Parts: sequence; structure tokens; C-alpha cells
Amino acid sequence: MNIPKHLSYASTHEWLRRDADDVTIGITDYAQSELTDIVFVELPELGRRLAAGDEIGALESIKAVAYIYAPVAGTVAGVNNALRKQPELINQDPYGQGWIVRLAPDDPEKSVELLEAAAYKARIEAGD
Amino acid sequence: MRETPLSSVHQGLAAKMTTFAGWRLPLQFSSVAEEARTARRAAVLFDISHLGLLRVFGSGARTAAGQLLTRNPASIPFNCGSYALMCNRSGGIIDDVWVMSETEEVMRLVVNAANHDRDLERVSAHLAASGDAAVEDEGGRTFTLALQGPHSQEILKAAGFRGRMPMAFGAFFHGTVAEADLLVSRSGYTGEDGFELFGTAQDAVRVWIAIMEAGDDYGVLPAGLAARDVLRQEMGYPLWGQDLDEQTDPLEAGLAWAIDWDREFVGREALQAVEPRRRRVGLMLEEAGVARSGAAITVAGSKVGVVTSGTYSHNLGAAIGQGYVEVEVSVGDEVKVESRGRELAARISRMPFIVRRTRPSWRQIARRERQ
Repeated sequence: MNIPKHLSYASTHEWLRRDADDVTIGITDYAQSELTDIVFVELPELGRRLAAGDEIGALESIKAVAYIYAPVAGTVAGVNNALRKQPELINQDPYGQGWIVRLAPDDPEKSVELLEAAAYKARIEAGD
Repeated sequence: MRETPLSSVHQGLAAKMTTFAGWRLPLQFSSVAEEARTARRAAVLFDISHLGLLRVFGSGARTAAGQLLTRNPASIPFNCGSYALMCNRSGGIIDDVWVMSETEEVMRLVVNAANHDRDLERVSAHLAASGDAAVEDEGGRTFTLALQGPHSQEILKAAGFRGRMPMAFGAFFHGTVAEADLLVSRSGYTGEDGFELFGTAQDAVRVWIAIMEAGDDYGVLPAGLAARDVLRQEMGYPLWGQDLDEQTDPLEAGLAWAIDWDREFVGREALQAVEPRRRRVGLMLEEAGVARSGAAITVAGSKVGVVTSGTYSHNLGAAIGQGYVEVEVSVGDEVKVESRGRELAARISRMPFIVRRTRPSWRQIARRERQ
């Protein structure tokens, strides 16, 4: 299971990367593997304001539907439009080409509980 | 949790596993899309050892077991298999099974894993009452593989198959692969040409390896339950527990073709009186989304039916499904399918969604010969 050390993780299986102006969000390798082939991605509108923990969008896989939640509060500053035609990018490259949303954070303090790679790994190994 | 004789192989291939009817089974090996595409272009190999295998034997085997089946086993020639239903007195479907007629005194029933215990109990009680037949549960000592796809026959030969090759869909013979005795049946659940191989547990890994190695030149891939579900849905095949249950009768399910009416069987009387008010149809979604089991099917805001299976077909590039709708709803009608609080446009479709490519069945051949 690939869990890059430089990212932060939410217990709902999103990863998050903080850059200078925004944060990029996707789902983890573990999450994509649990979902199996993702076939449709529902993305939020640009400019939408979200509180930490709000639903950002939905992923439909062969097996199930999964919702994506905002790990931090902010405004939708970018969406990965490539996923509309190639939702499988999330399966193939969950931390790279399969990124889902960019948020401009309101207040970096307003976030859900975030885990470091080791803690996230421990959590999924515990079957959570 | 039960494991198949191939669990070490699945582990070695790092398959993603799932739980199904009390069994630990591979859900996928590579990707569902890749496995489902390969089944239609080359061939795939499934471990389906979870299927129940009941051996019915004795001088009264065919007559007694036949009373529990919508098909008359006496009408199935030796070395041929047939789809059949087990119904209750009200005509509800207890299980859908594959009946293999071996000799005057031996037949095998391949039953759904989810219904295995109940079927065994039911068949056992019925045969005990008849006095001249009995049933033996072969589960646990056996394995079953399904090799499915247009290159299946070439792969089976390249794997060193010895014996008589069954040529008609549904026919089976005893043969060997890698010196393992197998019952080789030309059948499957994908709509492609292919084989189901029944053998003894200790030979499972050897046979799997022989087929995978021989199949390498043909592009064979191992496939899991997720691709198996997509492939059966592309063919419009029902799955018991989703599309069939005890509250569903064979007529509304579109399975009346699997009934031999000209004799007594459990459920016959009720079925003769049935006038279906709903029927099983295909659904093709016309906008992005997936129809999930249990979703309402509506026309102009009123509910006309319910989805029982749904998935996305990479082979078709569309989300498909099946469900039951009121008989007034026709093929081609535009409907809506409820999904996550929204209504997705869909169309009632004929099934199968993909042209069946199995070989002519022994029944079709016999019918042609009579003409």
C-alpha cells in the first residue's frame, strides 16, 4: 500500500498536500483499491465555499459510491477536469494525475483531524 | 470464513479479496475493466470453487430430484447439462442451478454458494422420502475453475487437455489436464465460449498453473468476482439473491424457457395460474451515474419498478443494469432511475446488451436435427 510520507491524511481516506496558496486533495491508494474501478466522478463547482468536513463530490465505482469530504475549510479553486473523461486516473495514479480538487483555504486552523502517513497506515491496518 | 483450494495462488498474485456467501474470494487481480475486456477478446480464468456441488445418485435419482426442478432431468441426455430452477410451492425461486446428467443413476447439481446449505437440506429431505436416491455434498473436496473467452479451447488444448472435447454448449466429458482428472463442461456465466472445470481439491493449483502458463501466449488473465458480475450483467443473466428470490417467479423473471411443463414438479400448479404483473428488463443509463440495486425506476414521477442489479460496462462504455418493471412498460421507453437523490435518464433495453458468443447448445443442435 502506497502512503507517501510528505502528505497528510483524513480518516475518511482523503490525502492533502499544502502548497503556498492552496491545498490539493485526492483519495488514497487504499481508498481507490477498496472502491475498485472508478467509473464516474462528480466534481464541485469552482468558487464553492466549504467548511471542513463538507462533502466535496462523489466517486462512483463498479462496486459502490463513495463521497469525498473537504479536510480543510476553503473555496474550490480548481478541479481535475481530466477525471470527467478518465476517472480511472484515480485508480492508476491516486497521488498524481488522479488528484481531485484544489482548495484556497480560509483558515489553515480549520481542518478535520489530520494524520501523518504512519498514523494513517496504522489506522487502515487496524481495519478502519 | 471458507477458503478455496486456490487461496495460496490468489495470495501470490496479490489479488484484492472479498467476502461472498461465507467464502473468501478474489474480487479483482488487475482492474475490473481489464479483466472484463480480456474475457471478450482473449480469455480469463476464474476460481469459482465456492459454487456448491451436490452429487445425486441412486436408481430413483432422476425422478426424485426432478420433482424439485423446473427441468426434467430425464429430458437431459447423458453428458449434458442444463439450467434449471428450484421453486417453492408458490412458484417462488429458491435457487437457480446447473443440472449435469451423467448416467441413469448419477447427476450433479451446481448450486449458488449462498443457497448451498438450504439446497442440500431440501434435496436431502426429499430424496430420503423417495427411498431410492441420496445426495452427497462434494463441497470442500473439490475445486471449480471457469476458463472463459474466445481463446478458451486453444488454451485448454495447449494446457495438455486429454480426453473428448465437449463441442456443444452444455455438454461435458471426463478428461485430464496436467494429469488431474476433471469433469470438463462447455459452459459458463459470461456469454463467451468457454469451459467449467470440476476437479479434486489437491489438483487445483496444478491445473490453474497449467492453464495460466498455456494461456500466456493467448493473453489469458486471472479474473475476479467483480469482472464476473460485469460480464453476467452484460449478458442480462440474473444473479440469485439480487435479481431472483423466493418472492420472484420464473415467468416474471423471463425464465419460463427453463420449465418443462409436461410433468409434476414443486411449484407447477402455482406457476400455471400466474399472470405476471411485472417483468425483468434491462436498463441502459443515458447520463453519468450508476444504477444501484434497490433504486426506484419512475416514469413521469410515478414508480413503475425497481433496479435489482447495476454496474458500469467498459465493454459498452455505458452504465447498465436490470430490474423489474410493470408489464405496461416497454422496451425503448424512457424512464428515470433514482441515484443519490437525483433522477438519472435511462432507457428500458432488451437483454443481452452484448451478443452471445457461446457455441450452439446441445438443445439447439437436437432441435435442428429434428427439423
